[in-house]
Amino acid sequence: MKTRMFVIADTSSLTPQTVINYIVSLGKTLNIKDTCYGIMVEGDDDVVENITIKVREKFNADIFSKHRAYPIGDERRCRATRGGGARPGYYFLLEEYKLLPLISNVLKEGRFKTIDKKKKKPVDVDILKKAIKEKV
Amino acid sequence: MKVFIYPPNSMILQDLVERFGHTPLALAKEIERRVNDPELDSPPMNITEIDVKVGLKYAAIEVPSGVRGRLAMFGPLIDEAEAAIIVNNFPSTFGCMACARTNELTIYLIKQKRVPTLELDYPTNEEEVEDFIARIKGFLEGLK
Repeated sequence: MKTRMFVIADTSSLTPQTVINYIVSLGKTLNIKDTCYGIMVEGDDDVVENITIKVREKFNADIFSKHRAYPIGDERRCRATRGGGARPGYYFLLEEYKLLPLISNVLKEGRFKTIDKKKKKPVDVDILKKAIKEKV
Repeated sequence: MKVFIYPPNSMILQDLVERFGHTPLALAKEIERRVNDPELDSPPMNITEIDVKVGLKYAAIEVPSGVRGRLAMFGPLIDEAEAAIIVNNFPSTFGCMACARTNELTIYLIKQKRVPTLELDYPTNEEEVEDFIARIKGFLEGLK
């Protein structure tokens, strides 16, 4: 068994229900959960991997995916049994979620440009000494 | 090729590695093995005393047990790695990467392995994101 998370980029008009409908139309035996950030899919390893490839082909850069360690509704992670509060791992999701619209745009438009970053050199000791003598 | 990602729980890195045709070595793989293990009798605990002993392969006995426990999870992934992508300066809330010593040792172990490695800074604006993806794409395509 394998579980995968599918996170929809904030700027996309895609809804979790659209993704669920598409997955259901593929006719595979899977356990799917609708969440606030997208969906979670659980099933046999090869079925889940196959679904991931198809979802990526269909929705391209609107959706991002990662392997999730815990099964859906696992008591150690699920908020329903933990008495509320953010689930462990939520902070990471929140942090990456902010970056998804930018990544999604870049991937869609194929804007792959590298920037030449010049490392900032530390200030010369003589300049520092001179500044100290002048101002102190 | 199997690409170790750092931070090992990053969804963005995992997704990009898969998108560009490689297998990411992410933390979920190791945690999944542990949480589905029927021997685990204390549910919220992912790390057991066995892991702390396994961690001795990657860190000395003087190293705190918490670091060794974490390395017992990252270590097998590093052993499998054929390439690595390291992202530096990521936000402090970025997953469970809060143990600074484990982070240092993880990067040290990757560098010791001498596999092709790409080091990047966590992007904060659109220009940096373009650069971030372009470098990852170039690196991963070069591995083929």
